[in-house]
Amino acid sequence: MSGIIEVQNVRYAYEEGGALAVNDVSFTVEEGEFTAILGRNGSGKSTLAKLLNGLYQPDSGTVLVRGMSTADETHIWDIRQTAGMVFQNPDNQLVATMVREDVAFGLENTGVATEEMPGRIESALRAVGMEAFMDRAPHLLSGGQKQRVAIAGILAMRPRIIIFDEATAMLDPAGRREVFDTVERLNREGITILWITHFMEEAARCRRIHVMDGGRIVLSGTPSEIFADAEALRDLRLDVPAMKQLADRLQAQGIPVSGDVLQVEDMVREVKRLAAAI
Amino acid sequence: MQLQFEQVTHTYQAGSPFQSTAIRDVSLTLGSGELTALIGHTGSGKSTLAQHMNALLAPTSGRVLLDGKDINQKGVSKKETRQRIGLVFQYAETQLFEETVAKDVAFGPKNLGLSQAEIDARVKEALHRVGLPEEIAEKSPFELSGGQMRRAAIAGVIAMRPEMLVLDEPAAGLDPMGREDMLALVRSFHQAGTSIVMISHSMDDVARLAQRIIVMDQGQVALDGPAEEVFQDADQLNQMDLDVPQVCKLALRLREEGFDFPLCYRMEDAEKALTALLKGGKPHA
Repeated sequence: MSGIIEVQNVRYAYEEGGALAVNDVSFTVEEGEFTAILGRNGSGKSTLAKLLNGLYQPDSGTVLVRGMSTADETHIWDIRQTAGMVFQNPDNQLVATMVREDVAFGLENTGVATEEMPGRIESALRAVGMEAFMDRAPHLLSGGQKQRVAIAGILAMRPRIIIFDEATAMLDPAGRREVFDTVERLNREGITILWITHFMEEAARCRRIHVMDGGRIVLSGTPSEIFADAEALRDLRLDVPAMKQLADRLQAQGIPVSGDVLQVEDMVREVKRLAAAI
Repeated sequence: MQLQFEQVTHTYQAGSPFQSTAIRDVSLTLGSGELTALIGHTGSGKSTLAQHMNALLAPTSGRVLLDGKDINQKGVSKKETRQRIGLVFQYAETQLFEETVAKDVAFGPKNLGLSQAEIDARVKEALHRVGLPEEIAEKSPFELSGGQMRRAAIAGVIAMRPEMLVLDEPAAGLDPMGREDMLALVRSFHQAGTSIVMISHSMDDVARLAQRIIVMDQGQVALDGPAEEVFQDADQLNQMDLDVPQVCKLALRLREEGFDFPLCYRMEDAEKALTALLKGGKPHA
């Protein structure tokens, strides 16, 4: 079985002979998955992301996106249209003076027929809940709104995959919620998501997690598998979600809380279950 | 030291068609060794407020007084104000520019007109206080990791020996342990006697660190008080599009479910309350 993204033994160094930023990484992303990538600053997450849509080419190994190799230049536009990318800083991603023009920007480069454009732009903005802002200036939007416009710009290209490189790092809590909820909805509608983050609470809401360290993938699993070993994660300069920390503390007190608790609702369910048994 | 805001209003581009009032009629007193968190969503006015703390911005109306003296009055040295109140910007590492870390940290003290020996001593002390090894002093700041670069930038402010430190999102973009280390660093400055004002979006960080919380909303102080009081107002925080700590969310949900649960926000308190509840305490569900 082959996934929508196939990464095989990929190595990448920024300078020839220099330290490997990505070192012998292999993994598969299945169509429709919601995968988080965690790792300390400098662990290679962003480099990996840029290898996935052909912004970088591997020094060795292969990256296949829907079967197309990123090393094959004839496929590069297809690959970037298939796998869109949203970056950290919303201000660096918006270029036009009007929201609708910004969303159109990518389309104009892909040879979509002019008469098809308005429809695509509108439906992309509707998908992120920003259709009312079509004729506004992007620089007057909030951080969360800007990121949603950036996502619309990608959606207009009808991608199958969107890669987010710490897309909520610079947003306030409301902006983060806004963007993450939008992304969860897009995933339910079938778009494959790769979500790079430093926020454990966000990773807990993904379906699979890969943890990177020193350019390698060192742990892979479901959120409850990954967060089961808090010590191992702290050694990797990561952490576990607050509710998992609380669950571990309660377990140490002899209270039989399930080890699967990662989110507030999980803990509420456990407290109700345990209280009913008293 | 005390920094007092008296009915401070700031209007950007006053008198032009683009005029907008970022803070309105703000009165508060900061300093006295407190560790204060300043929170509010983007556009709530907290950065504008912060820039008034060391005279980077002057009020359109109202006054900012440092130990009783108006810092924007003619004849009051801005240099001295900025030495006493240090401001660390968001992503401060982007402001490093010198060839070596030592030169970068020395930039401020040099401007104070100190002797070379005094400057060297201050650089050494500042690097030590932010937890950077001495060998780093002669490296280019651009060879450091992101977290180290941010520490080097903070060292430059610490080298001025400020009495108050205003930090805008010092942990933004750091990995979880980097965040942890940064919070420990802020706490260490506070323990050494420096007053702290920390702007943060992370309610979990604020819950763990701050003694006092000031919440800005639409350019005004919406809430101001000890952390335990401010988090009691979870509904209002939510209405202002802010978050509450995860523990606080849990407490609210359990109360909704009919449990007699205290409205706590610290991990330790939730642990205690849950232990009492689940180890034979009578649940009310």
